[in-house]
Amino acid sequence: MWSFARSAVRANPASFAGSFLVVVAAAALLAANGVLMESGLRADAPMLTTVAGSFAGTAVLVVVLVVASTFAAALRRRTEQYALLRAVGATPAQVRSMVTAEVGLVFAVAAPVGAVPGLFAAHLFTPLLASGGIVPEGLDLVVTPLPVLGALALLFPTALLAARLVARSVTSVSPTAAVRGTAAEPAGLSAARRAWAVVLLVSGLLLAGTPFVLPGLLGSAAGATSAFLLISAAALAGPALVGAAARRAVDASRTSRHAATLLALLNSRGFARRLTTAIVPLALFLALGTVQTGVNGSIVDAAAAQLRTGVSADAVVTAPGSLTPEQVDAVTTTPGVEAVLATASVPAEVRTDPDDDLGGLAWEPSALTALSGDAAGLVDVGVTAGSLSDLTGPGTVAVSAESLFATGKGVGDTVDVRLGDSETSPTIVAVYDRGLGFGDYLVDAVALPEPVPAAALYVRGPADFAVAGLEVLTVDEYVDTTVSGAAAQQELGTVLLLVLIVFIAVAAANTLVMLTSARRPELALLRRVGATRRQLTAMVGVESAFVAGTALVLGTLAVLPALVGVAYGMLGTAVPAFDWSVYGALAAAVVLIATAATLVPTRLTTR
Amino acid sequence: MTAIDTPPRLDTAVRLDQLTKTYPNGPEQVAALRGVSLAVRPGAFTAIMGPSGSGKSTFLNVAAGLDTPTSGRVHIGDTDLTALSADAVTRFRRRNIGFVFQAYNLVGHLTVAENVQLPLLLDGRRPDPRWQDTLLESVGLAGMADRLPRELSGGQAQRVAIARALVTRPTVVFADEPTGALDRRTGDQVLDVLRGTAKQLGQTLVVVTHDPSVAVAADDVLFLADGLLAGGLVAPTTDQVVARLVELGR
Repeated sequence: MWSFARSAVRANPASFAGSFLVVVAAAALLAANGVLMESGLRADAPMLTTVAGSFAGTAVLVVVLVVASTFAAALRRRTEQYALLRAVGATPAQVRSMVTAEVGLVFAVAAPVGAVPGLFAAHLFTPLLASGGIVPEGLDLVVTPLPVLGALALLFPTALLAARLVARSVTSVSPTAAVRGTAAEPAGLSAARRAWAVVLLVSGLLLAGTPFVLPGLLGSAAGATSAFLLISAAALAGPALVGAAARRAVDASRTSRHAATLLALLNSRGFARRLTTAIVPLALFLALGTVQTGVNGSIVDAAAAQLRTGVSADAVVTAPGSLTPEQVDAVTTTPGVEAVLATASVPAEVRTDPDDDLGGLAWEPSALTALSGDAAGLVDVGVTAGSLSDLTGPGTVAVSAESLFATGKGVGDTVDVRLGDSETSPTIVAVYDRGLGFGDYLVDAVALPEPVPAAALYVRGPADFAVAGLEVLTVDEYVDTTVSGAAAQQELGTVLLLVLIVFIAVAAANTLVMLTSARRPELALLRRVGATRRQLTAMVGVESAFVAGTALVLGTLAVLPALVGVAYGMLGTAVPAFDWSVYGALAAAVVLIATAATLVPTRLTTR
Repeated sequence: MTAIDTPPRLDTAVRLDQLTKTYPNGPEQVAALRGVSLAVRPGAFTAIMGPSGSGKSTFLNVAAGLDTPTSGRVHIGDTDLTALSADAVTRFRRRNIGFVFQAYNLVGHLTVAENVQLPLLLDGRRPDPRWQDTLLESVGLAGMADRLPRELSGGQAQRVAIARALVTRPTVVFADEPTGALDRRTGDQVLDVLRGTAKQLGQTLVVVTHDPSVAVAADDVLFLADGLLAGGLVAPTTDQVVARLVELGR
């Protein structure tokens, strides 16, 4: 079986080169992500664990979808060979183990080539991690073989499953039917595939509705995931959708005499499955980028909106870094200043799981906002229960409604907070709404074990005064600086997202190149029947426009429910939270990839 | 109107002058044709025979404009194919030349009717449904227009390929082993269709074959050996053809 697999690889270099490339990239991506997660756990840098963990959630979904789709595309062009083997006497089990051996061979070579550099590529993130305050300066990443094993444990079964599904079209029918069936695609979808598509579609739409029931970050995060379910539904129903669209287009242009267009539409009708494997990665590319930037943008906008409505001070004083006690005194004693509220943010950990000690996981990294002074008339955090006036001294805390979600806690209960080495359990005295703008936990500054320098002063009094070394801002100016600061903190997330998007782009382009070069016999036949090279180029051009157009429509439809939900949950509007510049750039990239990755191989093939 | 659009009606339908064709084979060159000259009169049925590797298929591909000769000239009617650009040859070909390939060569995801219409479609012409019906009927495929190639038998698929070669009403039809993959009876049917339509439309027919029974149906038989013409027979009998082949095979 292994020698069969080896010669198959030798005989089909193009088909295997594509899968190889994608496995290398996927293994590198997962291994690097694994190093970040493991280092976060081992080095007790909870923030790193959280960032890498939330990225891992998205990355795993994307990688599984992409690897499966790549192997499906790579092996589909070989069904003819499997059918022939069936005809000369290979049993279905033999064909299955042949497929397994081939997938195994690709992994045996590609996984180390990707994963080992991936382990060390994680170090490229260290400067970014340190500058973003996610890990302490000088933290060394921990490199063990575990991330590689994790990546393999995830990728290999995925690829195998996809390959087996393709092989099933050959192994589940008689040898003659297999040989005959490979010339054109089977029509229609299996009942199971249909059912799964419907299940994914319905659950995607339901998930997208979560923000309407559960506002805030949690609901939005859940809503954003719906885009992936909808893309998966499209991947399953794809052949039927693409086929129906192409059939309609063929009927509409029957009277057209433009050969290239009509041929392209006839091809799309005949090879709806082939086109689906090309469309899905492109749609995923658009959806992932749009949904992530849309959600991030909504969070920042929502935080800004909460600050803008919540701060009623006349001026906000900040300084580069933080304010010294002397500077705070100088502001307080400025003539005309009636009241000052100092705030500071202190990193802390909060226990989220009361029962189980999961090591580092029961404690979630967060931050306490320390207030010193009277909040009344300066900030309104939107208290829904209790009162901020009870927030005095140690042993009290005000908590955002969102962080209490599903804990069943309220005013009078306690939360466990860890500040450095000291653990306390302050009592909740107030619950409030504007957690995004003001932070999830408010404490009295005197409750902290040691004094913390103030980061900002909310001032009632004159709107315009000057203290040496300090910036006196209006509320709007203050909100703007805070927002751009928040955007900078998302830098790591943005870089990781970019890596993931590039990965999808590479995989999408690779699939298109693979599919196009597999059409050599078909293009040669058309040439012999009388198609000029220009007609073939035009035909493939129309097909790539069809691919790009369908990918844009599917990608947009898949993110629309998520972005409407997120906009409602975070901002209270129903205007989908598109980041139009990002959306435009991604859409342009989809068109570019679809065109370049099909036309270049076509020109090469028909030369 | 250019010469390309004028149907060639001269005393030679196909004229080949000193055709050579060499293929690179590693550092060496292999000569498949080594100077073949030939003239075919309009309306004639010519069979080309020869042992394997004698250059029969290369000869047919070059004569039909599917491949370019290394040197020499190819005239179809009064048009010199060797003087035209690749795309111009393609356009000329799909208007004036029909070609039946050795393997069935149907596009798998197109229906029978769509496969037959392909050359017209590529030429930007609207198919004439009556002509298509007539063709499908004369190749014995009436009522099968909407089938897919995988739903056809081998003989049926080959007859679709013949209908496709004839749909543009070409002046010359080339066929490369059209009965090669078929059993005797189906092969005979296919040959009858090809010959009957050619006669009816006044087409010139050039067929490469290794089957003596196909050759005896021809007006002339030409023999190829080692890339050179090795004589011919006019209105031959099976015995003559077989004797000649045995001789060449030695």
